[in-house]
Amino acid sequence: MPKNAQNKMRYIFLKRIFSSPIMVLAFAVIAILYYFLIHFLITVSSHGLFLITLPSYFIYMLSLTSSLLMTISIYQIHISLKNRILAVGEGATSAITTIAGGLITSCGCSSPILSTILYGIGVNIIGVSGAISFVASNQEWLIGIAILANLILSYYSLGKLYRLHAKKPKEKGR
Amino acid sequence: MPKNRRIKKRQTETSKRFVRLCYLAIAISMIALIISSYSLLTKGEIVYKTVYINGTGSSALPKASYAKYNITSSLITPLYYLPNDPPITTNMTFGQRLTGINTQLNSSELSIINNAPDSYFEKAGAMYLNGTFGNLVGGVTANKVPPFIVNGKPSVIYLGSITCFFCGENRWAMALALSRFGNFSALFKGYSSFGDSNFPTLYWAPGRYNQSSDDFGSFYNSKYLNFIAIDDTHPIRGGFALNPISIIEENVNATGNTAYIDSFSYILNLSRVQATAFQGTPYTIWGDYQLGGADAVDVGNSIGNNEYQLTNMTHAEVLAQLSNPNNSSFGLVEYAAADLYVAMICSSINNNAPVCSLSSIKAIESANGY
Repeated sequence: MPKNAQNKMRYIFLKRIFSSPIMVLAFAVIAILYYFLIHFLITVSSHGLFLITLPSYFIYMLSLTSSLLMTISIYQIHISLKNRILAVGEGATSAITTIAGGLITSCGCSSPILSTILYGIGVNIIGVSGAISFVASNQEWLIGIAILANLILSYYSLGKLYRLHAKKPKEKGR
Repeated sequence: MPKNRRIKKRQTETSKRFVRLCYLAIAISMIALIISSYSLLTKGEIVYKTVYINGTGSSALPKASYAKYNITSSLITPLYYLPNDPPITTNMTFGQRLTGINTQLNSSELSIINNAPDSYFEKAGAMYLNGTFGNLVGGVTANKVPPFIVNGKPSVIYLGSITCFFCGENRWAMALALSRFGNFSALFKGYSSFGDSNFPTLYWAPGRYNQSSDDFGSFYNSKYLNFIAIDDTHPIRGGFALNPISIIEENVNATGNTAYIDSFSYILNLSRVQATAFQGTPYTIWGDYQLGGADAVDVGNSIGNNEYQLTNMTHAEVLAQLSNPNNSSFGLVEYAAADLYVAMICSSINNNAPVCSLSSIKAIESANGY
């Protein structure tokens, strides 16, 4: 299939997903949940206060793109089950990028979450201080990468969707 | 019903059940994510794993094996003026402001810190104890550690960064607490970095705000304790940045000062145990107690994208709130945080200083188990 046609199919599937009220609801609910997850991570890291040193639209963008990826994955699972084709969604990645985003955003001068995780896996003080410094000073870039990863995976998942949809259901017992 | 349709119906029902299961699994995984994140954060609930500085130890380091520091040494007296980081007097816009940086507090400003009335500490302490401040004060756990004794006195050890906004906000409370046990002959106006909210703050000594380096020492004197101050520095016009611990250690060693060199070894030593490990700045030790973060986190309400009330306050406004904190949330929070630090020191010096007789200090010692 030519590339233009592939992109058109992706667009059609995106439209199809968001023409379903349930999917729109799922998208909204997941976006809110992801936002709360990031909020929670930042709050715990900042002694119970929601303090950020990044513009808040980074957090909104991350929640929305993670939710988009998760919604596409849910739809993908739905289609694959309908067509009885084994397929794995990229939903888990959206959770990973959200948590990573939360850790990155919550990382500042003091990073109890990140340091606890790093010490927990055996990293020493030199590694921990280096990681805190690196993450804190590259927050924008790292969050940008997480958002981009969500968008690229969403694009990939939409491509996978139309390929899945094109497949005929497997009829067992024939 | 034909066999094929029966099979198809069964398959449809199975797939419906599977879809429901999938949705349930997604919901459960979201809850699990939140719970696991929470449990990771609660130090006491995770496995107490010892992490050695240069290795991957797995057994707990017994407390008794901490090196006991009881040394004799002079402390570092910093310079009043740094040619490469001169004071700036021009007015600049909030959020990108260095107005007054590295200028010394004048005598009346210094007096607000050095001569703060006990009544403010009493009032704020009582408010802390009745929970008025919520999360703004006392968010970090105090861990009991062996004292770092220099010249027969316990020490307050501070490892911070001039670029860090937690440090910037917290130095106000630290200065108030330290002033209860001695006095500052000089303090300097400073800021956290542009990328870290540009809070007005105090520097213990002129800050190397144009350089990646470290500032050592202060103009503090006390008969009860030593104050060992290390502030990591980076160009203040950037964001928060911290030199790797190995670089800070090199800079500390380059001072040749035994108290500073040994205090840094002490921090590294404490970082062998996760509870007392370095988690970022500010990292402080108050006599027998170690804190892995700021004790006061009052930056005012957010007034926009990563901009807080404190960002838009001048040093004069902050000092005005400290000189008359009765109607100021910020002022009272700083006094309350100072109370916690005071209580830790009092506990470490057997309540020998006059401030230790304040009823709220005694109550905080008792309530927090110091």
